[in-house]
Amino acid sequence: MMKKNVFKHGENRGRYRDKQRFIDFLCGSLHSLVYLCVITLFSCVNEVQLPIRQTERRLVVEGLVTDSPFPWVRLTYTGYYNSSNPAPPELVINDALVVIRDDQGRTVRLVPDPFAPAYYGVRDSSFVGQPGRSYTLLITLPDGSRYQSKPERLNPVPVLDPLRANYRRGISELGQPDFYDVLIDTKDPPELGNYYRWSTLVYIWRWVKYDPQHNSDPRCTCSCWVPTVGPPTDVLSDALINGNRISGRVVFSSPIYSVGAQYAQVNQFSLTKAAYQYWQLFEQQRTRTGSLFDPQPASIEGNVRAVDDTTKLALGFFGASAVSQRRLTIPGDTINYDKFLIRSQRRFILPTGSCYTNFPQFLLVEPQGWPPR
Amino acid sequence: MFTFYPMHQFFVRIILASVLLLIAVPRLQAQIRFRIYGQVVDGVTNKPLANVSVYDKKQGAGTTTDSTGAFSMQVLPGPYNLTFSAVGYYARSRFLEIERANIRMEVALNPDTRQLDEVNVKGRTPDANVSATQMSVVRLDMKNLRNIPVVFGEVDILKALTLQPGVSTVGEGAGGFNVRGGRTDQNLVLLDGAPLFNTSHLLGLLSNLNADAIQDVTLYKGGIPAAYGGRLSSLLLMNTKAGETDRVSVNGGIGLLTSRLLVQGPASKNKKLTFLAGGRIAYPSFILGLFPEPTNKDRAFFYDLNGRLTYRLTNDSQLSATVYRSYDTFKFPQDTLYTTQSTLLTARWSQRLNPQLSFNLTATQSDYRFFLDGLTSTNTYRYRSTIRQRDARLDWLYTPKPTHRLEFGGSLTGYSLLPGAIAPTGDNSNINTQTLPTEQAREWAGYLSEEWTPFRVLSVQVGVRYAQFTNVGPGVAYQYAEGQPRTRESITDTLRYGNGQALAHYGGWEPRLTIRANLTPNSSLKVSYNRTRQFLHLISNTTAISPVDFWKVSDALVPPQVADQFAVGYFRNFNDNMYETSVEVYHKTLENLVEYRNGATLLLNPTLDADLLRAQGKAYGVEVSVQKTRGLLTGLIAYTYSRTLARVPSPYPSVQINGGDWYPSTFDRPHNLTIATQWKWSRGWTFGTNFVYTSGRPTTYPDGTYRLNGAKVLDYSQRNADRIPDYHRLDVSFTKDGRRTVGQRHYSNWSISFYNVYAHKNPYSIYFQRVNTTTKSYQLSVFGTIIPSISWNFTY
Repeated sequence: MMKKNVFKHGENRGRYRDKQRFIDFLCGSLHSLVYLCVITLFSCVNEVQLPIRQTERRLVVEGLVTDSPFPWVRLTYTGYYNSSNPAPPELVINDALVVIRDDQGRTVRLVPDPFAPAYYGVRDSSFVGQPGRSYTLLITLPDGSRYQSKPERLNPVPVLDPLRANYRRGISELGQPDFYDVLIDTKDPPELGNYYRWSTLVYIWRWVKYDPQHNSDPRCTCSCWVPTVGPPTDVLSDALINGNRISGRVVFSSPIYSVGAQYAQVNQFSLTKAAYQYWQLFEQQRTRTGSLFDPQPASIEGNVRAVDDTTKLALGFFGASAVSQRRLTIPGDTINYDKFLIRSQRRFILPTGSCYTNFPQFLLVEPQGWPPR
Repeated sequence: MFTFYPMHQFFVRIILASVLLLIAVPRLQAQIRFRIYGQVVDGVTNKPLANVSVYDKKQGAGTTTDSTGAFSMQVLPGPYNLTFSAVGYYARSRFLEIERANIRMEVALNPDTRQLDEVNVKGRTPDANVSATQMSVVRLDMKNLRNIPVVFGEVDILKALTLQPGVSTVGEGAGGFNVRGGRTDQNLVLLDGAPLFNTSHLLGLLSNLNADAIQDVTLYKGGIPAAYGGRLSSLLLMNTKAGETDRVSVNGGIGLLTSRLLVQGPASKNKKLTFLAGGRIAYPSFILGLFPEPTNKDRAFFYDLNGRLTYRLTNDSQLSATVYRSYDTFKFPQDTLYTTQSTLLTARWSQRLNPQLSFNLTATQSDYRFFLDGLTSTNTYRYRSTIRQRDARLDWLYTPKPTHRLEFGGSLTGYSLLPGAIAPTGDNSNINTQTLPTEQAREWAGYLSEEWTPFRVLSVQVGVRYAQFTNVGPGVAYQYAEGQPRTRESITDTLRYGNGQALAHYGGWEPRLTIRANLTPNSSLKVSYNRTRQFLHLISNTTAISPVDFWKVSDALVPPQVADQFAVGYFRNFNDNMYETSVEVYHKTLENLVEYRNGATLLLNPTLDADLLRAQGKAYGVEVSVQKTRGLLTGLIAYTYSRTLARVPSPYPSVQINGGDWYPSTFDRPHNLTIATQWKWSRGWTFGTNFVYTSGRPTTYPDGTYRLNGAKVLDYSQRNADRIPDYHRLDVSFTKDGRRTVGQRHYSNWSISFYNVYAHKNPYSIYFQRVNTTTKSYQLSVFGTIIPSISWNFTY
């Protein structure tokens, strides 16, 4: 139990190294503070068996229009989800009528994606969001009930500067690997009220059973590139840094499990204030620790509600964002292969199976479209 | 400075007129009555004793001493056998014959050191439970606090109060306390008359009041005297010790967390000037250092200081000044440093003009500051929020006859608050300076209260208070569009107010009433009603108060909170007041409580108004208590059943909480049982036990799951629909009083306590967390094991 708390504390620190997230940070640190001054002294944490109740099912809406093609929407109900089946058929909504309308009356219908249950998309790339326009989501469920989002403005987003990466030692006592911290730089526009979200994808080379230089089983698919995404709710308001450069913000700490290149891609999204608040709340609840210094939990209701009964709010958020994307190849050539094996004690080589049995998604060849090393 | 409306002028005139009338009336009287007056002091230290009961049982005449130890009563000629009694002292009787002159008496009471007649808490006189007009009052016996088992061996006034019926907290280690369903910011905590905005050290683990330096502690859960206002739920009055008059004495102690030292004594040869200076200093870093990395790198520190000077000009006149300071830091290296500090300054002039009339003139300043320093290399900053309150008040006491006790007076208050400001420190910081406008407000209040005892079996205390509050500029007020929830986007107008312009006015009458009727000589029925108003709100969206919480004054969109409380009680004593029993029932309604929208931004939010909601509250309960007050075994059994509910009646579904229905507040703990005993053994040993049982506090468990953003998410649709498991624990303590005789000057005490003897893992909270792919629930216990502690105290 002690280890758990100490680790949690360390994790918070790492996460909040970036002081631009000042307000989140206050809450986060308070967790740490409680952990420290109360919990680590005499407390203990015990697992208790409390099944999660399921109340009346509610609609969950997720969707995004960007200034790139292919807007998407996902419709599900609340209910019992387990890890083996992320989309149980009874909770997936496949027959809804889904339309996105802009403030000039232009509409596009989204149709169910035959390969991804619950997802709706467009077949051609002609519909592209325009910065400055507002978008509304209209849903008619199979039972005839209608839901509608508030108009969501697609705000412009500043351009990302080239990405950077820094090598950082992990705390080996806690079983951590070393990391590449992926850093972004951008310039906040002079006017107040810009909100950002970053999403990071890194292809990490993973080894299973053997390291490639000591692979005694050539038939084994024992090394592959595994896509890994960063926290979904890395958001920022310019309230404290308006007009300044956002420099050296760590958007992802990519673990070094092997010696080789890593391929990072960062999307910088613009958000509306409502979207920012939604993701803030989402993150706040995701990181609840149950201390008395947590804010009161509540349903994370977004901008979608029933048309006929405005007291019926859907969960989730329909967003509109402009996107600036950058890619970076982290060469990984500063790490000595043999020394790495000794230092890591081969801890990060998965002991059994192959890439097929260990990873739901992976690439056997290096991902394409990244700048050369 | 203030705007007086005709209504208020009228009120002021009434007060003036009634004051003049009351002063004039005695001169018109032709009855032959004489006065017995004088002073009661501590027989060892010569300090004046407040709240001493002076009573003649046969004649039915009686009064109590005021804060200067003085008393006065008007009597018909005849023989009197006056009994002087007070908590923690041997009672004393004096026989006297009144024939044709006023009589002045000096009485010294000897402290009852070996045998504490009282349990930890009790009313002021042996039969006060039944005979005093007040109800819902708790008075701590400071001498006995050390015999109550405590965590870490730290004597703690607030933790002792939470053993009382009607007083609770949200959890172990949480700061503040809740009285009869009130929030923690609804307690008016006055130290020497100055309000204390923060009462905790180490985030609530300990209270920041040094029990060694405090003379008396009185908590009003209801029937709040008309002299006080500004908070809804309770009044906690504490006074610093006056300082001994006969010689300089030193006492102190050493414990696991803190060490204490207190020096007091005469500061002048004629012993008219006395002083007291004391402090506690803590070394929690020592304990932190025992833990593994990175915890052992963190540093905490706190201290508190109390000082007082008292100058007795004459027997009827006294000047006093006090200072209090509390300071806390908590540091995460290379990360953040938290600092809180409270400073109180008070000055008081107490004057008795004649045996019937006296006044207290008091000036106070209370200052609370919170700092948060960011220490990481590229983004260093300092965030701060502060509040300062200054008060001046004049309180008159007029006792023309034994059957009348009239109190009246008024106060002026100035508030100055900085809700939040951030500034970069160092050269490489990316943080911009941001400062929210300072909030300024002024308040005046007047009150009149009469305690009338027409017959021995009946007394009535009726009072009224009028408070007028003005939020004054410079300031900015936003106007929001009607017919929709307030958001920053719905601002339609921004009004700027110049220096001294009023942003908002509020005011109102606050009636207070208590009636006592004796059913038999040993039993009485009491009824009370009071209305209270609160213009100052603590902005805090967490279950327990935290250091980043800040205060806000009422403005155009945040009206004052208002509470009305009714209480009825039946009080009965048995066996010559050895057993005191009481049953009290109360009902309280609260309006304009501050609630928060889901996901509200509280810190550094210039349009905070848009994130605040108005809530209603109601609380009701029954408190049953049985105390044994004398003998080798003393103790208290208290049971409370109480409920506390809230609702947010907003017309807009998006901001409603639980659909606008009533829901339990976070401190709604229906069943509450305390059994506290102290058993005197020989050779100065006392064996103390506490048993505490309370219902678990409400909490919000997830009641649905869904997938969003590729991850499983928990839905919390109903606030406080669940409860964490019940809480119970037993503590024991052994204290050794090293004194062999009552007057012994040099001695030491040992105190050994075991908190949570049967190591019950009491739930502090239940939380749900994803572990890899499954969601698991965990119970967190703060003091989930037995905690032994030892402390040593000395007096020299």
